[in-house]
Formats: sequence, structure tokens, C-alpha cells
Amino acid sequence: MYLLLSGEGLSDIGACQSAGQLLCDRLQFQAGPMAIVIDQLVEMFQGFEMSHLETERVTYVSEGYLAAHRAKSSRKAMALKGKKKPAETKYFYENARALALAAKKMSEEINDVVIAILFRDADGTASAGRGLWQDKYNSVNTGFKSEDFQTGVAMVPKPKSEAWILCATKENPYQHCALLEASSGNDKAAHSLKSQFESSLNNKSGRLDINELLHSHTIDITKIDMPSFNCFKQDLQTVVQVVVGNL
Amino acid sequence: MIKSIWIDNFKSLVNFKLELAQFNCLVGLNGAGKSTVLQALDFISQLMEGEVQSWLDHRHWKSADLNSKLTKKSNIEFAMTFEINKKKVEWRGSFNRSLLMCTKESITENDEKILAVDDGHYSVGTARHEIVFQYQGSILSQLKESYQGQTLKIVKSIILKIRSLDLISPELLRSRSRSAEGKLGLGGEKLSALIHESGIQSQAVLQKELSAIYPQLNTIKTKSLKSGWKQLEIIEHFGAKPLVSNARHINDGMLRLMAILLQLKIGDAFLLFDEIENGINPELIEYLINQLVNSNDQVMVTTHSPMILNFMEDEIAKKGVLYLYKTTEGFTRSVRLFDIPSMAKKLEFMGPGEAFIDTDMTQLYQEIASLESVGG
Repeated sequence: MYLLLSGEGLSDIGACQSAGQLLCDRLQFQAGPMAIVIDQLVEMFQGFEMSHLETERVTYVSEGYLAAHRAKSSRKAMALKGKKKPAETKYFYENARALALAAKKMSEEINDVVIAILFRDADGTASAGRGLWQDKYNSVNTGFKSEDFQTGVAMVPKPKSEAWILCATKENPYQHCALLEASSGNDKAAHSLKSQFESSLNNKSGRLDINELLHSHTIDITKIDMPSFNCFKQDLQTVVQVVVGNL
Repeated sequence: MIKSIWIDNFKSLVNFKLELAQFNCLVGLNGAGKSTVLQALDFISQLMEGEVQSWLDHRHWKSADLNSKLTKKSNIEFAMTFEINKKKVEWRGSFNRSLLMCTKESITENDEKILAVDDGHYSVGTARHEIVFQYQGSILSQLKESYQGQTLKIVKSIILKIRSLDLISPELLRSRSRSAEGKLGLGGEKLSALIHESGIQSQAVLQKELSAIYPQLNTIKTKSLKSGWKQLEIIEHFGAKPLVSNARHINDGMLRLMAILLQLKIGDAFLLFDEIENGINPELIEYLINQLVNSNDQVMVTTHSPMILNFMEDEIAKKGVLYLYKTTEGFTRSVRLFDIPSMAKKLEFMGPGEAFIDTDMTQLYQEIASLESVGG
């Protein structure tokens, strides 16, 4: 089992060491907090101790890589918005298709099962607060399915990944975290999620600070209880268990 | 080429600026001001014709309809910039709605004034004269050509070549006409005369173009009727059987395409088309867009159709698709659609039309507003 991750940047999944590098394996990959969350959950669900990050069984592709290797589409057969296709979803759909293609190619090359995890904030740059979380989450899965890819997992925090971490670092940690999902993802908004997040950590909110909190289990991801996180956790569990043959 | 337009106090256009590319496509919700932009360009063109009153009559407007009801200003101010022989040329003016003339005007070439109108006087170069005659629109509509330097002549000619077809209707396209003098009316009237005047050779070219997309089309011809009326006819072949139809019975889409293609072929004009997709079936849209984008002339269209956008190359769409929206005060504003961060991101993964149709346009304003608030 091998992991292929795609995120938006250093503060979520991570990034390649050299700027502009679109694809990298573990040695050039600077893991972000979400990569550690994934690694810890996979270890938990596979039923035996083995970190994919430590054993270098992780590859990272950036959004730029997916854009450059997007799945072919015929301009004539465009996807129209309608009753069956909600607005603000095609970006998620196309990212998932491109990641599925990359994962299938990699799986052939390394002759192993590849689990692809697509991380995109529900309220990120591509939708700027528009559209519904459920539609975006569904679109990632439809994108995987359209490429006939079975081991893809949507990681779509609502509104963004800071909300998941904030659940553990806020006053009354792990309590009523579902409420955080109603916050605005706009960093410029008054009392924004980002500012709450930074103040909950006394401004020690850098990537390495959070990574450390996760490694030391000061942030206990098993206690995070929020719909968008639970959904991701459940999907990841199902895929991992299918792969290791427990389902 | 016209590089930019600024207009203040024309209907919903208050302090409104638009940067233009070679091919421009205006998109936006109903009522955002797309057609108003075409009307404003047509208005500016009329200032050079110097026939403002008859233009108002033709549109069934009064001069009181021209200004914005959202401000207290009376005059309509405008500025246009051009690139002429690699020099930056600017024409500015202030149009008085009661006098129907520009009481202030200036044209500069690389910031040097070459024409001015103020305080009842006009000056061309260094000579200053009192204005002792009445006119409508711009002073340039009246000045003898021999008094105009090369640059002024070019400015005038660029402005006169703005050709708005913002009211095209099938009914008017079908109407018989006597003479067209090289151009269609706002609503597409005079099509039959224009095709007639363009001559047999142009008719053959037009027929060849249209046959590529309407295989059964065999001949386009015009007939002179009594009293100088011109009638348009087509001959189609279904099997061995020829079928003659006159303009009254030609399908809407073909008539619209004829009007658009003919104007593009005649060329040498800045053509403006409102709702370009109307009446055209989806299979022909790629053909139509290629014609418009590859034209040597500047073109501006408005559309609601994602398909129109989807047949543009990304680079054309980035430069030329302009999103019009209204501020909370009711003023029309424009932004290049793919300069908006979410739209730019989507364009990396899908065609311009798909990005457009995937977007909840009713909420796009919030993102634009948040960009403006940080000075973006």
C-alpha cells in the first residue's frame, strides 16, 4: 500500500522542497499537518504499526501538477450546470479525475495499490465561499468514479483545515466542534477562522509547531468530532480496510 | 485600435472604465449593463456623426433618458484612448444634453494637445477660433478635412467605424430595403440592400462560407424590384429539387449569420453584437467564434452562453472576457472574468465556458468586493 497525496500548500498537506516542483517523493516532501493526520489514521486503520511517512511510501503532487496533467475533456461535451450538476463543483471533479489518473499510472509503475487522497478546502480560492460542501465532496468522489478509480478518498474540510485543528486547540477542546464548520473561510473576515486558530495557539501556528503537536499526540485526532472530518475518516477507513483485505 | 473607454453619467455607467482587447466578450447577469455599454459606444460614435437628435429619434429615446438617474450630474463625460502609429492618443469630452453638443473637448497625442474646445472657442494646433455656428456632437463632425491633421482624421475615422448591431431582430433582417450605404441598421435592417450593394462576388463568397455550414444552400441572390426595393433570396437544393425562399421565409439563424459574416467581410469597423448566440444552433457556434476572434477588426459581443465562451482559447478568454456587475449603489463595473482568483483557478482545470457555468454568478460580486477592499 502506497499513498499519493495532493493538497493546496505547505500549511495543509505540505509541499515539495524546491519551489515550482510539482511532484516529489518522500525525501523532497515537506509534510504538513494534514499529511500527518492521514498517516496516523492510515496506521490506525491498517491494524499494524507502520508509518507511511517514515517508510517513505508517500508521493506528493501539487495542484499545478494536476492542472498540467488534467484528464482529457472534449470542449464540445461540456458539463452543464443543472438539477444533476450543482454549481461550484467542477473544480473538485476535475482535480479528482486528474489525481485518479496519476494514481493509476503510479500503481502500475510500482506494482502496488495506491491510495490517493485529494485534499481541498471546501471554502478555498476556487470557490471563494460559494457552493455547498456536500456537492463538492460528492464531486470529488464522482471524479474518482468517472476514472474508474476505487481507492480515492476525498479530504474536504469545511470550511478549511484550520477548523479541524482548531477543534483540538480551542478552549474546551473537542467540544461542539461541529459549530466551527459554520465559520467563514474568508481570512479577511472579522473574527475569522484563521485568527481564532492563531490565537488558540498563542501564534505558534506554524507548520512545524502543529506537526509537533500532532506527533506528540497533544492534538489527539481520534477525538476530533466534526461532520466533514468524520466523513473523511470513515471513507479512509473503508478504503484502507478494503486494501488490507479486512473488508 | 481603441485601447480603453471611460464614460461617466450615461445610464448605469457612472465613472465606468473598460480596457479593450482585440476581441471582447461581455458577460454578466441580466441588468448588469452589457447592452448599455454597446449603447454608450454607439452614442460616442454618433457624436462624430453629428446627428445626435436623429439618433435619439431612431432609438425612440429622449435626451433626458441618457444620463444616470443615480447622480446629480447633467453632462455626460467620456474619454477614449487609442494607439495610433505607436502614439498614445486620447479624446475627452463633455456632452451637454440640452445643447446636444460637446461643450468641452480635447484630443491629445502623447499628452500634447492637438484639438481643444472650451468657452465657446475651438483650437486646432495653435490657432484659436470662436465657434460661430451650431452643431451637434463633436466639433470634429463639422471641421473640414483640410483643417484636420493626420491624427485627428484617424481618430474621427476610428470612431465613425464603431458599428453597433445591438437591436438585431429577425423581423428587421427580413425587411426589404432600398439602399444601405455600406452598413446595416441597428436592428439589422437594410440587409437585403447591403447584400445587393456588395456585388455578385461578395455574394458568392458569402454563399461559399454559409454552404460550409448549411450544405443544402446553393445560391444567395438579390433582386431589384420596382421603386428601388431590394429583395433577398436563397436557393436550396434538397436532392435534385431546388427550393427558392425569399427573405421573409429564410430561417432566423441563417439571416443572422449572413448579417454577421457580411459585416465581418466588409471589415474595417469595430463591430458590436448583442447576445451573439441568438438563433444560432450549437453546432455553428465554433465556426462563428472563430470568425469573430480571427477578424482583423476589433469586435465586441455580449453573451449569456457558456458555449460561446467554451470555444475561445484560454488566452483569448483571459484577455477578452469582461464580467459586468452592478455595485450596491447601482453602478455598472467591469473586471476581466479570469482575473478573479477563483475563476483563474478554475480555468486551469476546465474550459472558459465550463468555468463560467460552474460559477454561482449571483454571488461572484462578494469575491470581487473582497478583492477591492484590499486594493486588489
